[in-house]
Amino acid sequence: MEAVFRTCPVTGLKVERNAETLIMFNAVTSIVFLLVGGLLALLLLLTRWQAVHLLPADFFYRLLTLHGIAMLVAWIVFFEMAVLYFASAILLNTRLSVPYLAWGQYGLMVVGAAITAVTILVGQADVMFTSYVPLKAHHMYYFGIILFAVGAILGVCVFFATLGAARHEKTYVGSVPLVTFGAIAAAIIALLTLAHGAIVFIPTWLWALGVIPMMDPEVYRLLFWAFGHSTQQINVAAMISCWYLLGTLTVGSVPVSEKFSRSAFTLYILFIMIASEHHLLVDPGISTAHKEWNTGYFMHLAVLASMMHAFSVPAAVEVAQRKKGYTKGLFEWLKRAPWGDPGFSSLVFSVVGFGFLGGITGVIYGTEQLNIIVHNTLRVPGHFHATVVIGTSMAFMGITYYVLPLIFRREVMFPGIAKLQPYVFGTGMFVFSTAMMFVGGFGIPRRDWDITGAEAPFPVAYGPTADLALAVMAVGGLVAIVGGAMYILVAVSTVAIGKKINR
Amino acid sequence: MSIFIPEKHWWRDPLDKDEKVWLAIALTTSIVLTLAMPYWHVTQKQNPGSEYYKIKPDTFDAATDRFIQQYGVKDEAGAIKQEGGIDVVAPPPGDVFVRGQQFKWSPVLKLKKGSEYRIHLSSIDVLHGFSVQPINMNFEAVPGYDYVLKVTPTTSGVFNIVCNEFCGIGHHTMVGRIYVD
Amino acid sequence: MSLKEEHRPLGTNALIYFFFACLVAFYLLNWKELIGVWNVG
Repeated sequence: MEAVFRTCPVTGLKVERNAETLIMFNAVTSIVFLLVGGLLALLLLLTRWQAVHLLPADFFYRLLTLHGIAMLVAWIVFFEMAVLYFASAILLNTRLSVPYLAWGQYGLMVVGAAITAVTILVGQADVMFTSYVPLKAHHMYYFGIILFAVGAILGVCVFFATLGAARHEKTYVGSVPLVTFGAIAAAIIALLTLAHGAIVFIPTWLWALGVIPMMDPEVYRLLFWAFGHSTQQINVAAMISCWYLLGTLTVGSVPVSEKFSRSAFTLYILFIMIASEHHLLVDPGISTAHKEWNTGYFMHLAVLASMMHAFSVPAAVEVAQRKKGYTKGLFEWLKRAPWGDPGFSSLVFSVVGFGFLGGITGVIYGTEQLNIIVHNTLRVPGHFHATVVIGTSMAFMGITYYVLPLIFRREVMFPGIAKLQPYVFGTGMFVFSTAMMFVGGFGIPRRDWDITGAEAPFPVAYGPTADLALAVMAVGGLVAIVGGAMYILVAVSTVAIGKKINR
Repeated sequence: MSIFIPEKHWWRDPLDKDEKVWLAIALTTSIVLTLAMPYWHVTQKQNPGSEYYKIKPDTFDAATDRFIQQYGVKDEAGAIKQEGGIDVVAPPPGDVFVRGQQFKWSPVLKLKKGSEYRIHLSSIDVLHGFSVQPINMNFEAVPGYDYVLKVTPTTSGVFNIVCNEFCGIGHHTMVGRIYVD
Repeated sequence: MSLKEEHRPLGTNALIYFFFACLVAFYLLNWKELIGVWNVG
């Protein structure tokens, strides 16, 4: 495959055809999984809303498993592959190294995700996203995940090969751009994470095949979260790269201090990987001292990094705005910001939601003792819907509005809907996550088809306030699903029938 | 711009005052958050226990059965009383066994307010979530591990043990009970 | 880089300290809730 370049008329960057095609394929596939996950979200929401209680129990658990895989794994990782190719080949003005390998990435991930999804749908893997042993799924479930992970490893290898080639061929001089630096952090975390994924899923697969007699459930939990939570740290690093990218694209922001931002990314690489014991705070098998060392020292240094970004991302936007002359008072820069640009409003929702809802609760829930009143209640999914959906997904959605004209070279369809989309989706998700954490405070469990104990030996009641909050959660969720549908409508119709931009 | 190559020697630029102040506050916060955990262990009484033993699920199952036989609440005929199909046990302060299995918590416990119990929590099949409601305390029941929680009920009333770790299609039917008086 | 005084990110400072206040408030609120549960150790 020969490298063919064009020059982007907006940014002046050189865009290579292979990189561009792979970005398109990965982005479109991720949106397909978002659509699947979104439809499932609707069904699950209408089931957990106790007044509607739509699905039967077995379907609820089955589709909840698939919802986790489609959203947390497929939608996010496919999009991240697009981000990695963008941050390497495009931002460094170079070609994508070893494009064959990149196609291998795409193929393996598609096949792996499909195998896992089908195994779940035919009812052979009602084990939830976490698949805690000794609950056993059909071996093809684990096999699909392994293929997907190998694909993702290939993608990360292509990313590093591209960086190496760009350095070798001197397509840039000096240090890589901040967005690329953030992507490097994400990619390093990804390699370590996927290695843990191999350590945990290959033996589990062999166990499901009957080759290995048994797995220790606590060791599984420890290793699974070294994979599962670190996956979320890839998301965080990728999301924050997207924040800096969106700041630049929407208001032309410059990082206030490269040193400050890059140090924060480095803290992620050093500490966030190891800090996964906060999933095991109320477990046997690990000593108190170890739990505190792990969640305290390692996690809080990663929290420090997030707090640094929480300052430097809005500061970059503010300084850029102030330099344009919006210097009156504390907030003229914010008032005069491009609120009609879906890239910008997505950025604001993403930063505020990740920080205020996801970040604060994450720090609190990850405290050893406080976890007693948190573990496995709805507080937990409330927290990660704030981080992964409002944070990561909205950042990716915001990026899409720029990827469509810059990479797909099509005018965004339905600009009115696009303009509104972040507000609808963001507001819905804010209500949804907040209500979910609120009901979790009553002790309502996550992953539970029926919280009334109707078929149990004893009835369970959480009180009228909790029931009302569940209804609020459902309404918020429905609004968010409308917002998600708007995003998919705009993205899919633009890709399919949007007007081509001619240069 | 964050998408372009930074200026040369970017690492030599000093931080602005605003960044330095926030960095100091954030770092202090991180340290305080970390120290809060050992501090609570020393000064307060709500901590996830550190005591656990490896145990074979069969052994734990048998130990729970012995516990039920020993302290089961008997009716006139001498049979152990049941509630919701689960044996009822009124143990003295000391060792108490709570067994999770698909899809049942057993036994039903009758405890005294203010007495300390050593609750041995485990599962004999898959993972279960030991969630006492509405007081909202949550622990993990792991097969192969005997998790010892020194619990002193400080409120009286009727409490449900809800399973909050997905354990199979009957997960939502797994509700046990604790009475405290 | 050194910024001119009128370019200083004062609004961001205000937002980040508001964020910090929220963090501290919710943190304390949760400890308070924890005291309500049974003694366990």
